[in-house]
Order: sequence, then C-alpha cells, then structure tokens
Amino acid sequence: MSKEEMNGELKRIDSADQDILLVKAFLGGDRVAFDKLVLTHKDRLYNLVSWFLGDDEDSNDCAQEIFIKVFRSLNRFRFESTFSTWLYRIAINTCKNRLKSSAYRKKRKTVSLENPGPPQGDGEEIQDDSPCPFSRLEKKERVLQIRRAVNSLPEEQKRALVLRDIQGLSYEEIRDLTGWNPGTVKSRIARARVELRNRLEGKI
Amino acid sequence: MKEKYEMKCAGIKEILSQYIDGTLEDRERVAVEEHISMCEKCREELDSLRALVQELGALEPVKAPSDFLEKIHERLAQPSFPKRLFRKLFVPFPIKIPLQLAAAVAAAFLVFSIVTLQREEREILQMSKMSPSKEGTKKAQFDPVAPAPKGEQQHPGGFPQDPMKKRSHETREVVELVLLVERAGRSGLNERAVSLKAAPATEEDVREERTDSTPRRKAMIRKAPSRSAMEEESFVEGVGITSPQASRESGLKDETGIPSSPVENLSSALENLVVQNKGNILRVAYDSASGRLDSVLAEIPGQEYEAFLKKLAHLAPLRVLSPAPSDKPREKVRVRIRLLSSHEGHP
Repeated sequence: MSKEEMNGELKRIDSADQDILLVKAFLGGDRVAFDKLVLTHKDRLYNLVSWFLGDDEDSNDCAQEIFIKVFRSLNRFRFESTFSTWLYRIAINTCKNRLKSSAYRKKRKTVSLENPGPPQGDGEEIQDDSPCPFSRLEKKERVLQIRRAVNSLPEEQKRALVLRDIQGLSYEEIRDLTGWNPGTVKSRIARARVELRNRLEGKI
Repeated sequence: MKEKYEMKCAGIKEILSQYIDGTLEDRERVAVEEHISMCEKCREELDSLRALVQELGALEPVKAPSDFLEKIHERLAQPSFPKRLFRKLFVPFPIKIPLQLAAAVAAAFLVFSIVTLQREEREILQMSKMSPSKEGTKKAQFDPVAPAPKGEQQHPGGFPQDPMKKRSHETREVVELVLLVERAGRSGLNERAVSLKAAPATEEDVREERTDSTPRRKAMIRKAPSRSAMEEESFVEGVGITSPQASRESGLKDETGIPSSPVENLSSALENLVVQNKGNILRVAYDSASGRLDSVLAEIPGQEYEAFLKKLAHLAPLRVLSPAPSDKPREKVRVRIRLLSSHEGHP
C-alpha cells in the first residue's frame, strides 16, 4: 500500500468513526447530528445518484429521498457496517427502483427523443479553473460525451463502473454493496470498461 | 503456434482491468507484463483502458445544490406518507373520479349485501330491544290490517311479505310469527301456568327441526326441554304444558295471591285462540336457561288463518317473518309463534 493510499484509508476510518458518533447522537435525539451526516455525505451521494440516473432534476429529488429514508430508518441501523456502506445500499436500491419505475422510463424515452444530452442544472455545473473558454467548452463537451456513453451501458455494467471508477470504491466494497460475488464484480468492471472504451473510441 | 499466441492474448485481455487496478496476484501480474512487452496489440489495449480509467477518475464530481439540506428539511416537514398517498389517489378530483366511483360502488355493494343478508337478524334484535314507548310505533308498523308500504308485497291478510322469505317458506312450510310480549323483568318470569295443550310432535316436525340449519333459524330457535322432561314435568293433567321453572314460580305466586301477568293471560289467550280457530298446538318450546315459554308450533285450518292472524295481532304486537302460504288454498297452515320480550336488555 502506497503512502497516499494509506493516508486515504486512515482518513476513511476517521470518517467512519465520526459517522458512528453522529448516528448515535441522532438516535439520542440530536437532530443537528443528522444535518451533519447530510453535509458530510451529500456530495458523494449526489454524484453517485447523478451518474446512476443521468438526469439532474431526478437526481436531486432522488438524493433527497434517500436522506429522508435514512432519517426515517436510522433507528434500524445495526452498526454492523459503516454508515456510508449502509447509506450507499439505500441509495443503490432507491436508484434501482426509480430506474424501474414506469414514470422514469417514460421520461427517459421522451428526453432521448427530444434532446439526447442530459439536462443541465445547478448540480451539473462543471468546476473548471481553466482560463481558456475554448478549453473549458471542450472539457464540458467531453464530460457530456462520457456521461452519455456511461448512461448507455447495460445497468449492471454501469453500476459496476460508476462504483469503481467514479466513486473509487474497492472491489470488496462493491461486493458488499451489490451482493455480487467477487468474480462477477471483476468481470462486470472489466466488461464495462471495454464497452465504454469502445463507445468512446477515437474520442479519448 | 499462432493460435496459442492468440489464446494467450484473449486470456491477458480478460485480466487487464484487474492489472490496472493492481488486484492481480504476482504470478498473473508478471505474466501480463511479459506478454505486453512482446505484444503490441495488448499493449495498446492496456493503454487505452488505462487512459479511460484515469479520465474517469479525474472527472469533477457533481456536487449537490447549495439548498440541498434545506430541501430535505422542507420535505421532512411535509405531511406523512398516508396523507400524501390519499392526496395522490383522490386529488385532483376530475382525474381521480373513476377511483372514487369504484370505491363508492364497492361500498354500496358491501352495504347492500350486509343489509340483505342480515336483515332478519337485525329485525329480531330491534324488536327485542324495543322500548315500550316505541312499541306503539312498531305495532302500527306490523299491524296486519294496516296497508303495506308502497312497493312491498302484501299477502291476502295484509302482512308485508319479504321476497327473500318466499323461497325458504316453500321448503319449510311453516309460517314464522313473532309476538312481542311484556315480561316482568330480566329474571322475574310471569309466564307461569301457561296452559297450552300440545299434541304429540309428529316425526315430520322433528325432521323439520333437525334439517333446518340456517343461521337465522339457529339464532331464533332455542332448545326446548327434552321430550321426556316435558312429559314428566311439563304436562299437567287438564292444564297443558308448563315449564319447570314456571311451575315453581306459579306455585309460589299462587300462594301469595299475586295476580296473573299479562304474559300469563297472553299464553292462555294464545291457546284459546288456536282452539277457537279450530287449530291445535303441535309443540311448545321453552328456553332451557330461563325456562321461559319460547315458541309454540300450531296448525290452523287454511280458511281460519287470516282470522287467526288478526286476532293474534290484537293480543300483542305481531311480526310475520315468513309469508303466508301461497295463493293456492291450503287445508292447514302450520305456524310457529315465537314470544319475544320487549324488556329484554332493559331491566
């Protein structure tokens, strides 16, 4: 393990301990502790949901719904996993259900016919300090290409790729979250990468 | 040799992804490194995948909107799920009206079913709970000479006919009558010295009692004392059937000289009425718990039937639960007269 990876791991452990303290405080009646949990995890969770759903408006609503579910079911948290694993599990299930819902399918179909690109919103803004407007535009366009390509992947490949390459989770964490066996995790990540590379062929 | 080489390429490509992530065992990692040092195609494959992974990892994360927490607070303050579901189902009105209609139809059907199926039971309960002040109203309602409400079938004697009863009547051949009587109280039974002569029950009667098992009948029929008990205790020479408890009460009260109750008079009158109308009493049933007179099964000549009913209605409020025999003239009409107390449940 390199020094950087070790630092990252230690940071994660600290964060997990902090989460546990906040959960206990919330269960003890401290509602501010819940706000702190939201503020700690909102961006990573929002990013995950946004890549899963590929729709900014829906992502915002879905991410809020996930935290509301957490608020209402935190008393069922058994401290058997880290809070973030539990949160991600809720997020994955909520996104899966939303993707399955007929309303979402209908909306997605309509959007793809009218405007193939993902809608732009506050949360979609790309942070870029590049002084050159052309460079900024190119970068934005590139991100849109990648998002479209990721969004066109089969659902399970997309899930594997987003968890690994966008969220940076380890193979073990992905296995815990998805319930897939280790071989499936490896093969889905590998296939997703090859598939995405093929869809973006010549654009890298 | 070429085939072997290509197979090796296919195997290497499968694990290139893990090679990039650094999750391969040393032996596999060395094999990949050896292969890509010789195979340009696989090296290109590795480079393109590595570039993709690096690019994905370098993407700026999409951040939550600045008002994200506030929105969550707003949503948490909103009505609970059941309330929102109710709104979702019924609001806006014009769109959701089919659901409301469906619900209304279902409710109406349910109410109709309950009303139809349990009508008789409810009538009996109402009658038994009826207070003396209401009795007059009910009497008027059940008055055999009063015209039946519009749309309601009426048999020749003027009694309201329930279409539901017609079917059961055809098979049972017994007209069910309920007579509302006044009792002295919950336990103070005054129907002692009931002098009703009962003819021995025929086999047909017994069969009828056994085969009739509808819930309504089960609720109404209370078991009479056994035949042997009736013969031993209830038959009084020249008097007729008297319940065991009634006999004891009768003795006591006769000694103390308490005047006979309305029920006693009614019971005697009942017997007289049957005899006057050239009928005979087939069976008398008592409540096994209280020893009260429960019902009387009698046979009335067809031509006397209407007159019998009218006279019976003068004795006490009367309710005909099953209709009179069909229009075709009958030689004899079998009636079961049940005595229900208007004070039951009101001590």
